[in-house]
Amino acid sequence: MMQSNQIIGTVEMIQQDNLDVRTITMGINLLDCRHQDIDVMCRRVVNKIESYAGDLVDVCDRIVEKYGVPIVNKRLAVSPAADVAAGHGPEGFVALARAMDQAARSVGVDFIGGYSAQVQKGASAADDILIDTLPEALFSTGKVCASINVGSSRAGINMTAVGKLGRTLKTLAEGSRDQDGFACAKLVIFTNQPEDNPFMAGAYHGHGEPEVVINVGVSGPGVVRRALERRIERDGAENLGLDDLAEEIKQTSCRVTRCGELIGREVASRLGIRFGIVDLSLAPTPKVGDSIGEILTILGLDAIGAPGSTACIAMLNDAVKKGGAFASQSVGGLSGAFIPVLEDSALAEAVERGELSLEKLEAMTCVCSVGLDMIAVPGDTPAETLSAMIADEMAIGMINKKTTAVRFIPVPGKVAGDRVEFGGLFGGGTVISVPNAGKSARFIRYGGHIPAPIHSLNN
Amino acid sequence: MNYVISVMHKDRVGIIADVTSAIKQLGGNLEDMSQTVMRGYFTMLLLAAFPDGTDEAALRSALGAVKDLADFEIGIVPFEPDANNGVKADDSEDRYVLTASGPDAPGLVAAIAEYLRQKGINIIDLTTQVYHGRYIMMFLVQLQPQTDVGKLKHSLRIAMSDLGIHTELRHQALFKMTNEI
Repeated sequence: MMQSNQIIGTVEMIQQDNLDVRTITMGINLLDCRHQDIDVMCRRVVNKIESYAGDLVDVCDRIVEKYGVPIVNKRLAVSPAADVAAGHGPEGFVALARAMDQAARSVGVDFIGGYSAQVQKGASAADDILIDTLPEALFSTGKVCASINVGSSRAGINMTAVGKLGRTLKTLAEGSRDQDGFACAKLVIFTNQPEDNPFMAGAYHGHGEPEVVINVGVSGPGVVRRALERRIERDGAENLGLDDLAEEIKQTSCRVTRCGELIGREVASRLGIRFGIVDLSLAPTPKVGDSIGEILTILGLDAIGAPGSTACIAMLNDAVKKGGAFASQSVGGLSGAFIPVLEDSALAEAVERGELSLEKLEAMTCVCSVGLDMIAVPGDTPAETLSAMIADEMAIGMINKKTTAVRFIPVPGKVAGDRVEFGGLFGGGTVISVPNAGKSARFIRYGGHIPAPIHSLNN
Repeated sequence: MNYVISVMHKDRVGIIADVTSAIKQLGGNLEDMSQTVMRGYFTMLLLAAFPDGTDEAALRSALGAVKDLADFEIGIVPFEPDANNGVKADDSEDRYVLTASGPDAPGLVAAIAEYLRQKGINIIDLTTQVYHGRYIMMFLVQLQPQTDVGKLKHSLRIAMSDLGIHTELRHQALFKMTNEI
């Protein structure tokens, strides 16, 4: 028999500290579904997804019963739509998006990612069509998520695509005006996009992936927060150094990851599918007590965004990786602490109080996963400014050889300080101020390409 | 000849030395042993092999004759190899941890144990403690093969709710994975 305090500790992690498996994501290769006839292609896509993922939700539900640990989301990630529908015109791409949506509904998953293209070095004709059809694809579906990789440390940044995507965000926001521009929450723009990321909206099934695979995203901000609180209560803040707290985070991350590994491998085993990776990300939810921002407060910051925030999140991010890497046989995906503003109640409140600015968020993304994520900006932010904000974040990823991403929502009709509510895991919060809006247009109009950076002389 | 021997006494330094020395003097060889101390009371259960012809009375007499063991509560039963009653290996697929909590009142363990008996569920191990003002019970249980865990959890929850007992059932692998390397 295990020690009773270990049993109580595990039960508390689940019941009180919000430990869950954030997502079980099945990756499926759809490249063999290509066909010159749109209907045949779509039928193949639906059939293939149904044949692999038909039991996914049921198996996850049975495993939830067995372990009593919630699996919050069941998702699919498929081959980039730009590759599957290449050769077709816009109608073929939109039909593919609808087929993806139909299949996702049929198997009962929450989202399907993969309306995607990789254009870091340049866009093919198919990539251009995919980007052009993003609004129609996202407006005419409910579960489809899109992502575009515009940069990499090896290839540089495709600034023509970045310029185009600023305009796309405006179109998406305007087209979902009645939902405060919610369509933008389903598009992520990346540098160094991982091929095995299980989190939405940026999941897709990469070219180096097997035919079908199960990837897992763990959660755990609430567990880390409570572990730190307990340690400080037990030992007294005056007797602890940051190295002690980093160690506590590391050990907690290890336990959280072990839980995700156990559940992910069992899902894969029951489905007879290869297990891929555990993504070690600390993914917050809008629920109080499940926030990255709250961890920063416990680590000693009276305002999130105050000096020290970047150092604090760097320590948190590194400790999470160290603990998780030890706990899992195979890690991947994004693996880091997310700071999606609208999805994290404490971060959203810090923005509302004016303590957390866009610039400080950008600085924090230099040292954590994954980028400027779920940030509501004024609806009148010019497209070129959005593109320039994307370019800044992509440059951070390109130079630092890490994944960075952007999910901006220019909320139509709203200005800095206004509230938005998306509900559910998407949360809500305050529209953040964008300084110097409208002053980057000449830079963006150049388009072209920012060359790949030098990989030595690293200062 | 194998015997299962239980020993209970108020805890003090040297109990295990006393008991195992006595067994050694009888020519016994320890095969398995479990020991714990609860609120100052020592208890030990051991399995030992003795030379052929060692009968229970002789064993009791020999253990009782050891001066320092005279006032111990000692139980002796011959070991039956099939006495494990269908208990499977530690990593059995059907082994779950049932955690239950309720207001500290008489009869909570009895209520759950009776429910488990009616369902044919064997209790492998049990520990309890008062935690944050509530009585916490942790049962390691062996479910019948092919048990519908969802239905069992539901019926257990309903059956125990009248007594104010909150129950949770989770497979033991979760606890091992989150606590052991």
